[in-house]
Amino acid sequence: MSNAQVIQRMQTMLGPTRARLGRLRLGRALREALVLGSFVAPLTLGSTLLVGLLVRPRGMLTQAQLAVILCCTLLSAAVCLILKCGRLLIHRSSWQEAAQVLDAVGNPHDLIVTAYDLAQQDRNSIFARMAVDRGVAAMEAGRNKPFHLAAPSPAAGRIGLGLLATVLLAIVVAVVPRAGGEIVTDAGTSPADSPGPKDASTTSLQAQRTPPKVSSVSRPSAQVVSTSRQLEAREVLPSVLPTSLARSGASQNQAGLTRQAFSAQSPSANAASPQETPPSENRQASTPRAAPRPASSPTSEEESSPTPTDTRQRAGGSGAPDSESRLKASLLSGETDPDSEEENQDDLRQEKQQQRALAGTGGQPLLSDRLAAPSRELGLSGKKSDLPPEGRGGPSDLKRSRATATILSGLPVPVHVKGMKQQGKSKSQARALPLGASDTESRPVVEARGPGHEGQVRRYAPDPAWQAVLDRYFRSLRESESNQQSE
Amino acid sequence: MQEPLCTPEEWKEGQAAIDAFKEAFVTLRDQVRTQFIGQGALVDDLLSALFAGGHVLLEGVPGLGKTMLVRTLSQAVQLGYERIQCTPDLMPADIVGCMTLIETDHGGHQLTYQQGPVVSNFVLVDEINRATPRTQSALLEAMQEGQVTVGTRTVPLPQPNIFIATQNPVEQEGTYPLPEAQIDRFMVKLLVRYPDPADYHAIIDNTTGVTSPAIQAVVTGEKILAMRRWVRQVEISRPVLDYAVRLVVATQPEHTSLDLVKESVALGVSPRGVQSLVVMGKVKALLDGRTSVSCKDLQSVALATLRHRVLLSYRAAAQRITQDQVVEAVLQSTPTTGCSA
Repeated sequence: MSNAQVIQRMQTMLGPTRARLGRLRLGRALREALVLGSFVAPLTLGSTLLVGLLVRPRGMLTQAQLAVILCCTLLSAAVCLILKCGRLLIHRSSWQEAAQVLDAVGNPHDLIVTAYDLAQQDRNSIFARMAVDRGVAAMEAGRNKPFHLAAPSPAAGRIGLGLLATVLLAIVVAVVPRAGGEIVTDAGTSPADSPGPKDASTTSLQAQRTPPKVSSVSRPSAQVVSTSRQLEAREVLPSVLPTSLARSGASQNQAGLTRQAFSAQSPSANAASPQETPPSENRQASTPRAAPRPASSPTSEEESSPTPTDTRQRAGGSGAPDSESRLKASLLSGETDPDSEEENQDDLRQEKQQQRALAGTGGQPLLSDRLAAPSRELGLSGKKSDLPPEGRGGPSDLKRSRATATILSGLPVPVHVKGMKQQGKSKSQARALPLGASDTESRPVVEARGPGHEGQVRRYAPDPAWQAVLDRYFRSLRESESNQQSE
Repeated sequence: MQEPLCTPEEWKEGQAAIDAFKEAFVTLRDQVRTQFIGQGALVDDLLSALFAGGHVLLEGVPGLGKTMLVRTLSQAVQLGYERIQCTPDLMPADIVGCMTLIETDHGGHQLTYQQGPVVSNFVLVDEINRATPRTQSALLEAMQEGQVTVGTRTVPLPQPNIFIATQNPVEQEGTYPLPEAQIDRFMVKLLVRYPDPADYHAIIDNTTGVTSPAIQAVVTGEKILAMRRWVRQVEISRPVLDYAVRLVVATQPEHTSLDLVKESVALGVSPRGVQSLVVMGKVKALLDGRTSVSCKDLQSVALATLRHRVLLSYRAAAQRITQDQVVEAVLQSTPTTGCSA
């Protein structure tokens, strides 16, 4: 009898053990996959849900986001399954492993695995053949012994917790409102349902996010939606326009006229309390309701940059009431086309009109007249700045005479009193006093350059936290300025 | 049932070798035990190392019978016996021998090699840690290669050859710790512990009377060599060998994943340690009547063969972590072949 025959015989006897080993390993892998999946699946579901709720539209889920959440969750579960069970498909139980299992059951001296290995190595010494024979005999005696694999701890609590978390998150996903069109706002109920300050603007914002379902419904239902939007606009406008006008303080008369005009058309406007809402929200609230302006409307006059005097005339004249009436008419018309670019243009026009109306009142500078900012630099004595002394948002002459701080707070800003030459120690950062020897050791020092050598000057080095605040402030300031210039 | 792979004659021959080995081992053990009472495991390990062909380091506090054990064993085997009593002034030439000018019969002089006590079958190196490192290093070549070199002369040691050294771990003054190269050459390091209280009566009777039991030489050198050959023929399968390698690698701080080893071991077990582990495992298997080594055999000899090859760090010494603790932790953390399923 050769070693090959011995191997064949041993494999025949090891066959059932190997098959059972494969089944036990599969079961163990499935349990491990369940343990892993009970952690990964709710984690994936929760994270994707959180991300979906944070991106636009915030607090809602679109159909695409819902699909991504479901796909990611299912994919994570599948990955857990593949990680734990895929190895079994690639690496099947070997004969040697089956022999090891049998040895672990009844042979403390590894007789079977040694016999199988020695037969495979074709060892022909007497001791090797004796070992093989002993192993075969041991296998025949113990091949029917039941065996079990060392299973991992049940971790039932962890699995249950994971499944519970998954179910709860799935309920949350089901409860979260959809932005895909399921919620068609009812003009009569939506504002009442919305809690707190989310009254008119929020309702109109939801209406803006809700795409029109006119194309997917029949013609009468589309008319119903249009009518509901008209009603909604009648409720929204009285609360929006007076508020913005009141904030600007431009003209109480105009506000009164507008309020009277609206109260004549919509009685519910008086009931709405004028709340403090920022102009940007007002713009958002009024934008989707704005009807496209007819082509014949005089836009060229508005788009041309007016002079300050024109602005003052328009603010105190009839320009503002006209725009409001047009806005009111457009909002009440109910003809909306959210995808058109004309809405954006109209939004810009309205913004310009509001700015013109508010210009000159001291409340807000007119940003759309594209005037350069006035010179706020103190400058050295007897030296004029290149920028014009007057302009958008500049200080008055009185303030300029008292000097305006151009540098950061906390700095030793010298006071320049008009008519008194070199009253302060220095006039700007560039003209700091020379430091003493002790100061140069403890503070960062730069050397002044230029024709007028003034020795070492002190550089202000604020704390890191304070420096971050300053950096953030100036960065946002420059961004806003650049945005205004681009507009 | 199909016919076995081994013919009946082969089976009979192999079984006869096993029986002869066991008989020689038991005979020698019984002979030693007539003089050395108790400490059965110590005697078994000592004889296993003798039949495995390795050297033994006995460590124990004074008065436990280390020297007497070795002397008794030397009397039980028919081998040449030499004793080296290590002292601080012992020189290497005192061990390996030297070239001496000898007067010839014709009145002249001749430079001849005067061999040292190391050239013998059975060498007891008593109190080895009292010798200076330069003297200890004189044993390196003899223990590893079975030869000594004096000048241009290389003298092979007689076979079978075994070095049994004793040392006292307590005394520190006037002693020199063995260098790692020296320690690694010992196949096993056996700790001589206090005997059981039940053995004290027999010990006192044997040693305080007028006569002491006579020791007979029951095993010859040729038989020891034959038994060493049988030990080498014992098979070891690849999975068991993998387990031995895993055990040794697990003691190496740069390769192990065991925190205790990483923190406490400065130097792990060398490949010579695996050799000693496997050979001692073969002796255990043969004593158990098997012709192949199992993982249990390796586990049973792991402490004796690995403990002295683990060099502990200063941190471990400060925390009073012993080498045995490290080896036992390695044994517990390393899965055997049967557990890998």
